[in-house]
Amino acid sequence: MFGMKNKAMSCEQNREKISSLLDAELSPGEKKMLEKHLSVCVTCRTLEEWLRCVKEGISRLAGEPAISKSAREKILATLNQIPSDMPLMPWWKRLLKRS
Amino acid sequence: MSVVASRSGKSGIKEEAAAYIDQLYRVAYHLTKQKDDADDLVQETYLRAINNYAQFESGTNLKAWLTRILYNMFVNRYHRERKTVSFDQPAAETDISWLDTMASSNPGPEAQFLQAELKDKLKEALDSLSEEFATPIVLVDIGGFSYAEVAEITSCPIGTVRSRLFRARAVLAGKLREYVRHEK
Repeated sequence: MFGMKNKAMSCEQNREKISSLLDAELSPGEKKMLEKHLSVCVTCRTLEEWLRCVKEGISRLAGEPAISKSAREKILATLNQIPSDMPLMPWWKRLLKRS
Repeated sequence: MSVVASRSGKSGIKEEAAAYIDQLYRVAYHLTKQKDDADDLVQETYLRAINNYAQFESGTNLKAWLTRILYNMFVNRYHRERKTVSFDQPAAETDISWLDTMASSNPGPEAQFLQAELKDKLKEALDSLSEEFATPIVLVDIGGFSYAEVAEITSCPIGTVRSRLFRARAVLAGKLREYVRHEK
């Protein structure tokens, strides 16, 4: 019973990290610990597979649709309005912004 | 994916900004869910970016800067018109209780997921998410941003981004799982 409770807590703690693992957003230590858990926990491996499918499926949606031709032309025309002598943020303003 | 703005001068920045039109549009489309709204949002983003161009710091992440402008405009313009669901609300939309009952003997969903029909279901499920859920997914999986960049764009702590992204994926996985089980 104690062991089951510990396993359940461990799964609960690892769920969010499974999502982060898919995005390569874990530290090497976190990744190692999670992979160790996944090697022994079928439930978390199943969750990993579902979350991976969602991530890959959403990524496939990225290819559609495309911006309209007229909107693209207007944006390119807008970008060409940037004067070549327009200054970027001066050094003293950047300094004030950071302080 | 992190892209740092060119230091090669304004013409380089113009070209780099133009190269992000399609990526910004995809983010705008999946936030607004309407092609025309996305067209308008991206055009206005570039217009505002040029008006605030002097504030752009050379050498910083131009794509993230443009996306932050886009996101802020989206929130200001479209947020009030859309139904939003708080994470504190016990709405069915935020229900991830299926994780607690997930049978370890479940077969993997990958084979079924490859079917074109599920792509439509996933789009439908993404569109049904509230803004808090949808935004991190759109920015990470469609925009290609890191958690740190999403935190900067949305002005949220990185832990919130991490948590919302997991919950959003879990909600979508739950919806797809129900669909797959229903179809079996």
